Amino acid sequence: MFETIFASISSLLATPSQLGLLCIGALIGLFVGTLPGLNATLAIAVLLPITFKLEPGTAIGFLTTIYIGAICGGLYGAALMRIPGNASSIATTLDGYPLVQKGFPLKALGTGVLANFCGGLLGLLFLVSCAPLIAGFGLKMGPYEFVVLILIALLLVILLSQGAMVKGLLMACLGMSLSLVGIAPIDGVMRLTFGNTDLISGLAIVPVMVGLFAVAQMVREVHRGDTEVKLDFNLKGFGVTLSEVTGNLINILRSSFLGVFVGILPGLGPAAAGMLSWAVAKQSSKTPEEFGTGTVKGVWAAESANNAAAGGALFPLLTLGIPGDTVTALLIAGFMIHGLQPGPLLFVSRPDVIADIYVAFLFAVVAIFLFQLATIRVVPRLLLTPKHFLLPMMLVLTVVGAYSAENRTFDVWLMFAFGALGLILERFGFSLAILILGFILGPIFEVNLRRALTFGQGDLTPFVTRPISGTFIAVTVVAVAGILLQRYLKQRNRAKERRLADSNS
Amino acid sequence: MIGKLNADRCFGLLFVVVGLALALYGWNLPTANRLGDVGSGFLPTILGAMIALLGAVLVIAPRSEECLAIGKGRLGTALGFIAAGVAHAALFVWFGFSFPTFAFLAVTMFMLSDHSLRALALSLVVAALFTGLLGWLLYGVLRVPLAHVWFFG
Repeated sequence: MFETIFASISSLLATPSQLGLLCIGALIGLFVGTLPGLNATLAIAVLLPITFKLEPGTAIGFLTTIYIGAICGGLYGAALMRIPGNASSIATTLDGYPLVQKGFPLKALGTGVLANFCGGLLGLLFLVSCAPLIAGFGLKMGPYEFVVLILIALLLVILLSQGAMVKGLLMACLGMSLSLVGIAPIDGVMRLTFGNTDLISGLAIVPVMVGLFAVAQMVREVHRGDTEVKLDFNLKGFGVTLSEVTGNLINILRSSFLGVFVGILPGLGPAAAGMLSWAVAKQSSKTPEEFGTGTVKGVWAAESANNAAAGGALFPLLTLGIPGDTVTALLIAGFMIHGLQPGPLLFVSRPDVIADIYVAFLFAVVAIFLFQLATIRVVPRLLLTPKHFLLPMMLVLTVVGAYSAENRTFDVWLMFAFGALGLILERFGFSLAILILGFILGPIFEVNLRRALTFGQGDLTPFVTRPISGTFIAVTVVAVAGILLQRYLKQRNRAKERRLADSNS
Repeated sequence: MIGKLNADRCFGLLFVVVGLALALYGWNLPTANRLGDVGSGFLPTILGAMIALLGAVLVIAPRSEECLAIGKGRLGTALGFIAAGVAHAALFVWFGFSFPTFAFLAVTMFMLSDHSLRALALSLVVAALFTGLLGWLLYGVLRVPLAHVWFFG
């Protein structure tokens, strides 16, 4: 395989038109990923027909660069304005935005860009070296394992996020409840539609996410008025020190591995990967209290995981021909246009196409890294744009984004409604990130829960007796016990210190 | 602090009502069948019950974590901005992309500015330029299906 990859690299370097096309793909991806509402699915769906005339490897490679670009593009809005361009960057808002508010936009973007690069490369490395092995493991994951894994992901994020656990649990339940709207899986029963035909297909992710994060944030900014943001552009290079990189090596490796693993599992995607990695990084850190206040560790974890998840999402697609989400489903359409069927046979019949995809992935990661580095001192100056110009423009982009996702005006109204909900919930300390995670994971959870209970005729014991599922539960019980014990000890120490201070005074 | 705790209690109560309503709704949906499927009413019932239970916990023991304060600010301007946004969306349905976008941008940019004549002129120019550029990018380049885009039909 490596020989084919090297042949593909030399062929790419010798063909400027192909290089140019991949560059355009990466930039389009970056553009749609930056704007809230527009996403890789839309760009790939729109540009799919133009790949008819291209060679299969070039065509799929072009579509892959859009995918990678879109995930990287989410960083800008998430860090600079707390408006994630897509769901994959929600975890970046937790530390990226506070870091920018402290006056360090270069550091926030520099860390995010480097994390994108590291996560992307590690994801690709995993993809090339262990695709068949991990895909085989992924295939052993049945509905029992999915149910347990989703519950673990939600539980860890709730336990490790800021705020009260009760409020976190409430948001997870509310997010899952919102995902129930529309036609139920398996038996097709209408739920929570109240006779409204627009609700039959359920609540779309774009208006929900854009409303909760972008609209709420814009209204908050308008309300706050013109506050001066002090930005430090005097940092050398791109704001990241070598000690920060070396100090976060384990964090990057762990987050990338988690990203690949979550990416492999159908439906979970980069958003869950980012949130989970952020939560695990916080738990593993010696200074967990810094998370959520603008620490680079949080940005490293979130951004390396969501990019690695892109590599993970390609595992089941290439090795088994199973798409994990809408983007990879569109990539399958790209294969089919050229008469190819992704799966184990493709590795034997057309290794050149597989190599072209790997090379396009690599090219996208490198090209986006170079582009983001070259513009790293320009992009943060966006924050210097007067708010009275910037905020109305952003609102127009969200309205167009919400509308164009499914060409429905209903989604625009939905976006405003969720904007109001986001404002109220966040004002009273409810986490929007957990709500959106529950909303994304809800449908996958329900399908798998119902499948699992159907397989076992209502029996719950396979959740514990199946090896993978049982191991997950055992590890989680230990992890949760550890977290709760840590919390208890911390509270006890604080109470002790307070008593000591009281007796001294 | 007292206000915040009361707010938590109000939210808790609201969640109890929403949770119970959801649980009741789920209870009336098809439930378990002979094939072992728990039915589409299972999850809404469980989630509703959990929401109600957690809401009750919030009523009994309200939390007091720090939260994003609204504080003093331009409440009227913020409400005006939201109203303009909603009007933009409504006009977007009837008049397509360009005209409502231009009108919304010009009005809100001026509304958020220092209300000088220079600000008005700048708002009009920037609104026109942004509307044209965005229309070209979305409709002309990315082929996003928008109606009535200036210069494109």
